[in-house]
Amino acid sequence: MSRVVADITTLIRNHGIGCEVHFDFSNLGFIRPAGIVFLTNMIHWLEAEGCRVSLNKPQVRTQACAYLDDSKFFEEHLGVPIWEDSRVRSTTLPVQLIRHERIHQWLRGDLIPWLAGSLNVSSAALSDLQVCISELFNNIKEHTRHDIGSIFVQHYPNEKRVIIVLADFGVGIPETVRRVEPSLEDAEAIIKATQEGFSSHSIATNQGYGLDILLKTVVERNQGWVTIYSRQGIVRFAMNGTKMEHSSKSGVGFCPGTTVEINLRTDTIVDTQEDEEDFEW
Amino acid sequence: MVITVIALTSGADTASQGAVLFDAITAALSDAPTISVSFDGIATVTSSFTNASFLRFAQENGLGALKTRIRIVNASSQIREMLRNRVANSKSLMLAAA
Repeated sequence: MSRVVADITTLIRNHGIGCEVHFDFSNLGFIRPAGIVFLTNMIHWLEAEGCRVSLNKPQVRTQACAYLDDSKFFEEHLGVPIWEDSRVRSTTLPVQLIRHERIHQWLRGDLIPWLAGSLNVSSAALSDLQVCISELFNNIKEHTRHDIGSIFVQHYPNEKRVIIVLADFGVGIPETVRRVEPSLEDAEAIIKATQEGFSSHSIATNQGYGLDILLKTVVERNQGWVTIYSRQGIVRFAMNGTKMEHSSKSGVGFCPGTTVEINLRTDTIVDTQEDEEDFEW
Repeated sequence: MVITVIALTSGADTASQGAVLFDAITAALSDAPTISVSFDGIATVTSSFTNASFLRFAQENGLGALKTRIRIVNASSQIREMLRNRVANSKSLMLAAA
């Protein structure tokens, strides 16, 4: 998908704002949740940048196109689903375009209750995850002029995992990190941004506590993994034994802004009930 | 005196909500030696909220003032952990204390 985006950004550079982009789904054989979010954000970004975007209605109901339709992708961009009997699957929370002002309420009122119901746990058991996503959206607000993020959730019960993908079209983590560490390549900048305490000091309340808490929660505690795509950097964080490690790739495409793919294991989530206590500093 | 966060803001998610709490804490402590901040009805807090409220108070008034003048009540485990970690790991507070 990042190669598609690289082609599109070349197109815009060569033809300027006001170019036309047509998406043809005829030969689409497979798409993952990250691809759906990527496409959704890409289309909205192109339109916001003044490009005319069109999508063809696929004639053949391939598995990939059916998944897109059931996930409300075509309804989001064409106004109606392709096939009359398309239905949101019980394991899918369809792609949402969310403004920052709504995100926290949507998390509390929609995502967390839906996920808790799917996983048969209490909302309290997912409070750390809720905070991670809130932190990521606070970062979106602080680092992008568009103030919009996309989010998509897919539960795979047989594989005991949930994939949550969030994306924005901000300046991207590497550009933000290079304000304070100008020599870093894109993947190196992503890794730097995840270090506890690192901050680009973009605003007074940004003290760099978003990505490292995401990794602590999803990778260290949940034993899941996280992949971060931003500009030409792709970095995957996962446990290797008792230690968290990262593997990175650069230069295989281009991701404007940042896309975060969270792979959460459902078999390590411990159901807890809410407890409230007084606190000693 | 007890300041109940949910009575001030709809959540504890953003820096602007943290700023509202900061203003309320500052105003309350001008009239009282100690106050309690209640998170009854609030399940989670973010770092942005914590930075803009409690950490800002500590930066402007000292870590000692934070610890002795503000009591936290009705806090979930996530809130307790966030507050503890943010205060323990804040470089600016450590520099100020040095």
